[in-house]
Amino acid sequence: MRDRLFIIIAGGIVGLLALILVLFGNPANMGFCIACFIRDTAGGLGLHRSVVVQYLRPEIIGLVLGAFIIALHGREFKSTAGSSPVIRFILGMLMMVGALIFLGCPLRMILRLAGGDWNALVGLPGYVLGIWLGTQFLKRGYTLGRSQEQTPVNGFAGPFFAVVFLILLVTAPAFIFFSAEGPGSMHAPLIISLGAGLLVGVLAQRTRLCTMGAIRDLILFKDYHLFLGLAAIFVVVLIGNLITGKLIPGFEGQPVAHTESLWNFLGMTVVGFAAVLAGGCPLRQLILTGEGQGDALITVVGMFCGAAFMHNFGLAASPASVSPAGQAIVIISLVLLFIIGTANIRTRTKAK
Amino acid sequence: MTANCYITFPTTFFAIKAESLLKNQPFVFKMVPVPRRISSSCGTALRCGCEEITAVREYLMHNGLELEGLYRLEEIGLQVSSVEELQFNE
Repeated sequence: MRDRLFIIIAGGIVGLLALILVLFGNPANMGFCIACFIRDTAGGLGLHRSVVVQYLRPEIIGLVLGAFIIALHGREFKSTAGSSPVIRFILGMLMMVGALIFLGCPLRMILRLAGGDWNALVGLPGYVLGIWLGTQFLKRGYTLGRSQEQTPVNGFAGPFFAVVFLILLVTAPAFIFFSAEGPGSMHAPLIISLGAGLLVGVLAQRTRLCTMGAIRDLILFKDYHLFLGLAAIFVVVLIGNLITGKLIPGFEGQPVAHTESLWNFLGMTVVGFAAVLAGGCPLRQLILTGEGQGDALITVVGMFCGAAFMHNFGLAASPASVSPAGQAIVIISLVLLFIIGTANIRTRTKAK
Repeated sequence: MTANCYITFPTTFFAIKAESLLKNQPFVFKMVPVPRRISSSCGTALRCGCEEITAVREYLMHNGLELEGLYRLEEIGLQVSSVEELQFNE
């Protein structure tokens, strides 16, 4: 099918852009990381004061605007909202909790894997387990309910914030924070980051690329369409790392990663579980925000708050370790996800 | 030129329910990702022959499922040549 070819090519381009971004200055194995970049952006806005991870990442801005422009162009921009916003906010927070324990969103997990970081190999089965747990709730009738059509201004809110962030980034007023050292200080030039974000936003909107949907569809329907996109990202980045000599296999000393396997595993379990319950991985939530979905925007806002929460209270993992409080928050998150999953099983259908 | 018909659902839950309901029925169907030409949403759709879609729809609605839309896609080779949204007639 033409669609199949398109998603493979799109995945390949995403992989290529991830390599280019690292080449131009992004932290290693972090060409794209939605969770890390939202965390950095939250830091740039001063929502947390972890000085090494503060930068309004243009990739995030580009992803939202790219999806917005192409959705408008394809007449797919639709302002909707109203499907359990509070739960979605919490799910966004929980996705961030898991990601900041593992130190990366599922997209970065693939990039880390392709860079030879075996800690990501531990995270992957955790992610699959989380998605499997989520699908068990889907099968039993979990739903956050239908969203309703809203006035267009609702849908424009996400892209509007993206433009505001871009203005703040370019004008750099005193109240915006820029890391002087650490991962937050490592970034490709603005124009390259923004361009890459825009392009991936367009591609992800057209192909519906989703790291959670890829595995969910495999589990639920044995459908591998979206999975092809992930595989393409992995293969291209792997080849790129081989060529540039950046493939350094091992557990120890990997860039922006720790070696605590149990927490790498459970961190990604939280992300996968929350992503199924929220209907999309962190990347997909940004794309849907660009398409005008208020439910996705509120999930993204939850991710911003989750990032601030994790860093302000010292819960986020560091390359050195996962703190006891960080470990506790992972367990609490899993419990919360089971409660959210159970509490939203609706049996109003007469179907048996 | 081949034509396939698709039913889309408001949430994944209804798609899963539809699959389990239809499993024991004589309909020929397959659960597939919603074709990109129908929608940018990443949900799951039910694909079946167009001659059966009315019967499938009625069976599902009779069993209390919520459906979102019905579509007919004509495909020439690998390309979708036309998308037609069918009337619901609720």
